[in-house]
Amino acid sequence: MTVGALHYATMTNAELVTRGVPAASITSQRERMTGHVRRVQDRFARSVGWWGGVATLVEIAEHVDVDPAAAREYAKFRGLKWRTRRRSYTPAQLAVRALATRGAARDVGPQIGLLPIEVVVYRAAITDVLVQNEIDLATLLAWPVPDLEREWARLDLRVQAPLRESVDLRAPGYLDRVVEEAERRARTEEP
Amino acid sequence: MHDREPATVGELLGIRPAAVAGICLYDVGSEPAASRPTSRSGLRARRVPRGVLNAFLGDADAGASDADIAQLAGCTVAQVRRARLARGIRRPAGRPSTHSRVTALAIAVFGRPFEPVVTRVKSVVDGRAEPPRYLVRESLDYAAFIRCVGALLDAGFSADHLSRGLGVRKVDIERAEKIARRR
Repeated sequence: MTVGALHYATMTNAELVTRGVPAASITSQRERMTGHVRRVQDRFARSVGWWGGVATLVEIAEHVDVDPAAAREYAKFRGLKWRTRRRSYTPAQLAVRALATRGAARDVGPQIGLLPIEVVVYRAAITDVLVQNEIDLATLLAWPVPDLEREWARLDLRVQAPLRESVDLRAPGYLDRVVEEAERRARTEEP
Repeated sequence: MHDREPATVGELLGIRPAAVAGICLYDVGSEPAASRPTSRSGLRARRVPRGVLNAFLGDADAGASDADIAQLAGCTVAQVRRARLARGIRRPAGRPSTHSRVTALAIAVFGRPFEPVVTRVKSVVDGRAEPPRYLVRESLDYAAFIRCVGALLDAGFSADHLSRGLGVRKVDIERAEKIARRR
């Protein structure tokens, strides 16, 4: 069974051990794959893709189902930012910022107000854009703004935890099904 | 005076194309630009590029001493120690040796490299500690005990037999017998 980034981000060490991950390598693997040293809380794992200026704090709090004050505390402690009147980004723009800022995900996250795992996923997503168009990042910066958004929409890139409101993340086999589904989709889209 | 609407992605985000030269997904964060050494920054203050020590931390996990790794990686012992502790590699007990040295020794002695032994890890503490196990016993139901002792004595067992068989003191059996007879 595959143990992917999502497993490392959301599962406890004990759960990873039961899935056959050597206990001594969990923290280093988790940091390498997600940028996090500890796991993300289940509740806030649902906020992946919402930080950095995409949504307001109230929207995030409603999505995560916590008090806005609690969301604010969570964000302030981690250097997360949200959309305000002055600061507003689309996911595509955040992805460009994530890739254009040098450094490890753990360091870059607070600089642009994202969770480290968001930095990892945004970077992977914008790399898709670069690879599909066979360009480098400097060329992408010279693109007109609408082109980037159009390309982002065309490739149907989404940065989100594959979680649904009604699904219990800890239910047995749920994460496995998510990973299998993603792999199946990747296989069918290849040819 | 009105600002011109940003035309390109770089203008919108305030990123110059020259600033992102050479960035691609897979080398981002592996090695930040080396800082120029100043007069105050000697060997102690020198920063180890991120990721340089990663190649040697397998040896650290295998039990290599920090001094050996520092010599190999070309940095200080404190930097190795910091990187090792950051990845949760505690100093293992026993005689320190590098992975490569142990392999060479095994080839010299046995003619083939050693096979790592994978043990089952039950505990969450790196397999080095197990949670204590407790035997949970139910408390004695004394009324039921008296009924059992009475029945067994009636069936012909002696107090000595019951004392040894049940693991109860003989005086307790006799006391239970008295109570059972009184009923």
